[in-house]
Amino acid sequence: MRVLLHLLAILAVMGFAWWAYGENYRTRAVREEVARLENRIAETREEIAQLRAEWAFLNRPERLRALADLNFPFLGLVSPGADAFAPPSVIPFREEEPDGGDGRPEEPVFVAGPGRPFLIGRQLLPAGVLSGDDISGLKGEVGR
Amino acid sequence: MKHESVLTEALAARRADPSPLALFGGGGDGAALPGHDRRALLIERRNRLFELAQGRIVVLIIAFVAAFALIGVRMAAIPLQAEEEGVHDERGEVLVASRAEITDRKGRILATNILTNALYVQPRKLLEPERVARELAAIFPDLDAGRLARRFASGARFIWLKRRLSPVQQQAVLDIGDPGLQFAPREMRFYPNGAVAAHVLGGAGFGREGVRAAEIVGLAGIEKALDGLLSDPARRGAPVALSLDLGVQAEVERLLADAMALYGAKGAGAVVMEAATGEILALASLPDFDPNDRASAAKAALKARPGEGPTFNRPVQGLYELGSVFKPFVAAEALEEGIATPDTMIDTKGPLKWGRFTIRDFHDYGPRLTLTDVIVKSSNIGAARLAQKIGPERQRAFLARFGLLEPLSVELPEAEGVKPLLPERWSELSAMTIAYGHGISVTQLHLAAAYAAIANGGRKVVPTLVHRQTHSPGPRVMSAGTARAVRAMLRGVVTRGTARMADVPGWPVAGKTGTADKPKPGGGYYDGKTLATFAGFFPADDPRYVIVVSLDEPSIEAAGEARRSAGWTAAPTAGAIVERIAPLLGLWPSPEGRSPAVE
Repeated sequence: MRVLLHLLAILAVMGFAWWAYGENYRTRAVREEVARLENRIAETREEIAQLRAEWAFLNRPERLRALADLNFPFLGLVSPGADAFAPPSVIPFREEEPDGGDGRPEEPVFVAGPGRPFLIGRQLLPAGVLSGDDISGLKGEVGR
Repeated sequence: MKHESVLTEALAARRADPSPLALFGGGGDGAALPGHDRRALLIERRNRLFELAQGRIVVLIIAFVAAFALIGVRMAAIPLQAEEEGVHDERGEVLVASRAEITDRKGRILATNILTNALYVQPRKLLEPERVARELAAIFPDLDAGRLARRFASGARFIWLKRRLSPVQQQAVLDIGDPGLQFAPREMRFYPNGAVAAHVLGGAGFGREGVRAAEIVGLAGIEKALDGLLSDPARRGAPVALSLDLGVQAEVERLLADAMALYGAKGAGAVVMEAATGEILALASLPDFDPNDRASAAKAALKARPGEGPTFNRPVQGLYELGSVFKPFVAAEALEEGIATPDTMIDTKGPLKWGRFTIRDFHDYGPRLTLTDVIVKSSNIGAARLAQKIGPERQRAFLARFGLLEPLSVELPEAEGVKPLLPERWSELSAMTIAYGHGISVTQLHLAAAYAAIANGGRKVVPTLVHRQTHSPGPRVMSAGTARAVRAMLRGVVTRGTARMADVPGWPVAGKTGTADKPKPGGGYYDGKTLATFAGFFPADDPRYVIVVSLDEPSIEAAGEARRSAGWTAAPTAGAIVERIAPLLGLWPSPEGRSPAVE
C-alpha cells in the first residue's frame, strides 16, 4: 500500500514536471508569436501611414484640378454654379422605358444647366440627365 | 550537538576497526566483550544511529518543502508581476506616429510623417574616398567633390552629409556601394498638398538628432503653436483636426492667385470663417511657399521687404488701415445707442473741415443721405459726422467689444504681439477718421471676427484654427436687432452700392468695400497705391460664413481708366470665391439662382 502511494506520488510529480515543462515552452512560443505579431502590426501601421500619405499626395487639390482639366474633353467638368442645382421635381424623368421599367433612369448623376451643355466623348449632350454609364473614357495621368 | 557526539563516536569506532560493518556495530571491536553485553551494545548503537538518520531526514524534508514552497510562490508571482510590467511592446505605435497628423475638419491629411533616410559617412570605413566624393557630388549638386574629399581626409570619424534623401537619391547612393556610406532612418514631416495652407501649417524641422532617430519640431504656424500637443506621447498620435476645409482653402488660394495676376497686385490675403463659431475655414496669404521646403522660403523672406516675403502671413500679421470696411461699426453703434435709425438723414455736405484737416468723399453725394445710404454709397463725411455724435470714448469702448483693439488669440505664433495700431490720443478727429477706417490699423482676421459678430446676430467670436465639437456663444456686442439692420444695409451695398460686382447668382452676398490709400513710411499717404478690401458674409438672408478679401496695390484698366478701388477689384474676387466655395460648403442656392425646369 505504501509502495503504491509512493509510486503514485512519484508519478504525480513526474506528471506535473512534464506539464510545467510543456507549459513553460508553450508560454515562450506564445510570447514569440506575440512579439512577431506586434512587429507585423508595427510594420503594417507604418505601411498604412505611408499609403495614407501617398493617397493624400495623389489626391492633392492641385493634381485633381490638373486631371479634371486634362480630361475636360471627356468629362466636361466645370465648377458647379447655382444653375447646376435643381430640386428633384424639375428633373424630366422619361415617360416610357423600352423595358417597361418604372420610368426612372438609374443613378442620375448630373443635372446640366441650360448654359452648361455636357461634352461626353465626342458627343455634345444637350442639357439633361446623364446616367453613370455615360461617364467613361477617363484618361490621363498627371505626373507628380 | 547530540548527533555530532554520536557521529564522532561512530567515526572513532570505525577508525579503530576499518571493516565496513563497523559503523553499524558489525565490527569486531567488541570481540573481547561477553556475548550478551556485546549484543546490548550493538542494539544501543543501532538505535542511536537510527535516531541520527531520522533527524537528518526531518531536516531534509523541511529544506525540500521550503525550497518547493519558494519555487511555487515565485511561479505564482511571476505571471502577476509580468502583467504589471507589460511585456507588450508598443514600438509600432510609438515609432510610426511619434508626431500626430494634422487633418482638416473632414479628416483630410494636411501634415503627416513619412519615413526617409539621412546620410552620414564614416570616413575610416571608406574604401575609395576619392571616387565616393566624386559620385556623391554627381548625385547632390550642392556638394563639391574637392571639398568632400578634403573632409573625408580630415580624420573625422563621422560626418553628416544629408538630413533627408528622396528614394531616388537613396538608390543612387546605394549604387555607389561603399561601406563607409551609412543611412540613418528618419521620420520626416510631409505636407502632401504642397503650398496649400502653407501659412497656417508653418513647417517643421529636426530638433535633437541621433543616428537612429531625430526629433521633429514645429518651426512656425500651427506646427509650432501646437508643438506640445502634436508630440505628446500620451495622445498616441491621434490626429489633430484643424477648422480648415481643404477644398475651400485650395479654391480660395487658386482664385486669389488668379485675382492677383489679373489686377497686378503685389500680394493678397483672404479669410473665410464660420460666423457662429469663429472657426476659420480658409486662411490664404499670397505670395506663399511650400512648407516641405520652408528653409528656402525663409531665405527668400530675408531678401524681401518687411511684410512682403513669402512666409509673411498677411491676414494674421499684416496691420493695415483698412478703410471704409470700418463704416458698418459706426452705423451699428449709432443704431445701438439710439442716435439714428436706418432712415435718419445724415449731413453729408462736404468737404468737412476739422482744424487743418479736411474730409472728402469720393463723389459728392449731395447735402444729406439716410444712414443706410451713407453705408451703401460709402460716405466718409456721413460716417465722420456720426462719429462726432458718438464721441471718442464710446467709440473706443464699442470697438473694443469686438476685440478689434487687442492682439488675436488664434493658434498661430505669428499672431502673438500683433497689436492693432491705435491713435496715441483718441481725439475727436481720431474718432472721425476711424469711423471710415483710417488712423487705426488692424489685421484682416480682426476684421473677419468683427464682421462675424454682425453676421451671427451680435455675438463676439474669437477666431480659432482648431476644430471643436462645441462652442459656447460669446458675449453680446450688440442687439440682434442692430445686427439685423446692419446686415440689411450691407446687403444694400452689394445690390445697389459700391460692391455690386460681389453679387453672384444663387448665393446672395452682403458686405462692404474698403479702398485705403497706403500710408508712406515717413507719414502721409501714397497717391495711387491702395489696399483694396472686401469684407462680408453669405448667404445674406441667413449668414453662415464671413469672407474677407484684400488685394495689395491692385489696378485694372476698365471703362477707360485705371481702377484701383475695392469695388472693381476685391469685390469681384470675393464674389468669384463665394460662387465657387458655397457649393463646397453644402449651401443650397436660393430659388432665383437655381436651374429652371429642364426641358
